[in-house]
Amino acid sequence: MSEKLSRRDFLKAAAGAGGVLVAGATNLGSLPVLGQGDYQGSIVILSASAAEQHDFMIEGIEAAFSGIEVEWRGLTSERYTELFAAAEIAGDQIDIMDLNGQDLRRYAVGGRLKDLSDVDYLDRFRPVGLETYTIGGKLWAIPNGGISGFPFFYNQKALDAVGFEGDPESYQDIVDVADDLKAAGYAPFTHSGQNIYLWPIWQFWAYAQTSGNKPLEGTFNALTGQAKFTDPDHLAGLEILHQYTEDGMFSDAVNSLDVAAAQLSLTQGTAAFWYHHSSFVGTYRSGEYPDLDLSFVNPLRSVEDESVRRQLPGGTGWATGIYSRIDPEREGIAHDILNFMTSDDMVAQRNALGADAVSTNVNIEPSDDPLAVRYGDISASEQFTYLDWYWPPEITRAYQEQQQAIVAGMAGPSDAAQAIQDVMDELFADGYEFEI
Amino acid sequence: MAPLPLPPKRIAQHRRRASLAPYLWILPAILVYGIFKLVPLISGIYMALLRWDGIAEPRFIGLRNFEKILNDKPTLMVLGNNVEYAVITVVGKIALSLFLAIMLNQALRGRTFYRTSLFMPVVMSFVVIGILWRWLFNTEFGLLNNLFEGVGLGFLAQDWLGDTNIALKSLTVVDIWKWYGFHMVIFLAGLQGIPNELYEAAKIDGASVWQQFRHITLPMLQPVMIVNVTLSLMGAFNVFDIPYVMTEGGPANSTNVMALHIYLRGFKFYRFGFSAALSYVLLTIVTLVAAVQLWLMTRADNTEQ
Repeated sequence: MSEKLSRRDFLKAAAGAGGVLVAGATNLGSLPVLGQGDYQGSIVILSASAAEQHDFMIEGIEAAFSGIEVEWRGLTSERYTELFAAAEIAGDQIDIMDLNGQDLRRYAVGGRLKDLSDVDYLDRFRPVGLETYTIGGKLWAIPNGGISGFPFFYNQKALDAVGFEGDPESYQDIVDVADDLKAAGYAPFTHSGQNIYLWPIWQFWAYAQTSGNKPLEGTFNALTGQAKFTDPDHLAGLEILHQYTEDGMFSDAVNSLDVAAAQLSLTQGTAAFWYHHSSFVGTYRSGEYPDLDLSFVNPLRSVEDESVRRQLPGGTGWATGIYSRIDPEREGIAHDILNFMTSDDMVAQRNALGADAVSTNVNIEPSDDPLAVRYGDISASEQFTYLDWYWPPEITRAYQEQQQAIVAGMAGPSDAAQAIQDVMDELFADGYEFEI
Repeated sequence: MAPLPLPPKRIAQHRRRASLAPYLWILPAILVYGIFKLVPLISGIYMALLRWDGIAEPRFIGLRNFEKILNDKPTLMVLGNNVEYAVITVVGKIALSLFLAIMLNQALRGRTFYRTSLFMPVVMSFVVIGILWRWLFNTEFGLLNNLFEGVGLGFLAQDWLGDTNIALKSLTVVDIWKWYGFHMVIFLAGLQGIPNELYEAAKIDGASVWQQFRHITLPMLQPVMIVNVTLSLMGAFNVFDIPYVMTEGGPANSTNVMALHIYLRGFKFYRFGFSAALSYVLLTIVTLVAAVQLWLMTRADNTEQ
């Protein structure tokens, strides 16, 4: 890295690099063959994640490619857009882009990524990741990390307290015990309703059911103007949320709960279910929660048709690609580094970091944590890509606002759907085009 | 021995240098202001005339962004929120800070301690304050609701940040709490500049405490009042951090304010041109409001005099 190193940091880095070299020497099969050409100097990685979390990767690259110095700029997911634009306008060196998957479309369609369809190591990855990062028939980024999503977490102690046996499967299961749960001090559901991305997630799983397990197709139709967000299948997703609200399923003040507050409701034993990201398993394992016995199921069936599968939304790791305007002198080495970054060895370490249940790479065994194994068994195969990876951000925001309005009793599902479609119509009028 | 008089040419040279000196002293400040304020301000005008998403080539679209603002319902709603926010915070901050300044201007034991304590929120980071108050307002675990319930006033417990009718008002409480200390210090400086003889004379004439406040304190504080009202008004229209950290503009857009709206349009919706146009609208509004308020207050001051 370009930062000034203290003696301690140097020793740490040297030890890390040594470790990677030893690991590489004993496990050559998992590392790609390196051929860097003549380039020596710095390689800049603009990442949505922090450098401190990726010391192993930075040290690994620097050890594997002699004369290469990695500048890992952790722009954060929230500020990636503005800082990337600033770096580009300032003419800063940009070589590799390590994106949050939801931003891939923007940079792929905007022509900022190299086409990676022809790389020769694609058999290393699970097909779902490659499909997710393919737009217009071309692969724009390599999936890198864990396959993870949003199951319905619940506190087994809460269900035990009301005598519920087995795994809950349908919404009716919870309706039947809701009063008992409340009497025992549990709100049936808590949710991080304040967070911009987390009410839309609720629509993703609901829409997966109301669309007859065709959430992506239905979304693409709405984004290309062949369908509307007011159509019965989309509307029914909002009606499910309305039903949960009307039935008093959510904890008080659900619209003002951030992630920490909602998590506290589950861990302190004041809510039975929490709809959240699977990485919570890692948090649960690393803390002490005497009031919580964690388990999860796929989203509860909330439609009448029992043949509908209970799918859950998720993502396929970071999207790592090559900046399209990279200096030709560095393009070869950037490809080699991309290969290295997405190698089994590196991804396994990234998986460990995120406590991922399933890896983007075929050869990496999922964690042996019972909950991670459960995710691999019952959830991974039912996962579909988060719909806001396709939605324009205006629609994500519109959903969030309208879903909050439904929960607050300010709008009914029909009005909310109409408001969302109005935003979409405005985008079309403004020249919006969606590329599949 | 008296010094020899300087030749006229040297005197002129000396005067020229002396008259240049002040400009040289302020040159660094002007340069910083120019580079970091004026240049972006002027180049931003050009951006407001573009359609640009931060990636594709910018396209010149004339005044279309401004036209769009006039018909943009969310912008009008957000502006309404901002006006409400400004009215509540300006009145709240001025009233509270003036009251505390008058209290702390008395001969009071531990006065320095109180002054320092009351000023503390001003130096705290917005993010820290946002997180702190978010927890205080938490419906289930928050101090506020638990306090109400603890003293038998459970009916006062509210969903402070989740109820669309209350959320904005809750944020104004935080804003007032954050800034009253700043305005209090300015009022204190003003109070200390009022000659004591005026109060003594008034007492001899039999003026009540209220009459002293009304006819001595308030008029004498007028210049300080103008500064405080102007600063708090401009702060209220430019507020960003508190809604961003505490509610992200929700629920259902009820706490969205102009600066946050501009940020979202620019950096979340990638409409940099529209966002730039919005910021000029905000600049115009703030300038107009501040100018009208200054004019009204100065006129009132002149009339009093």
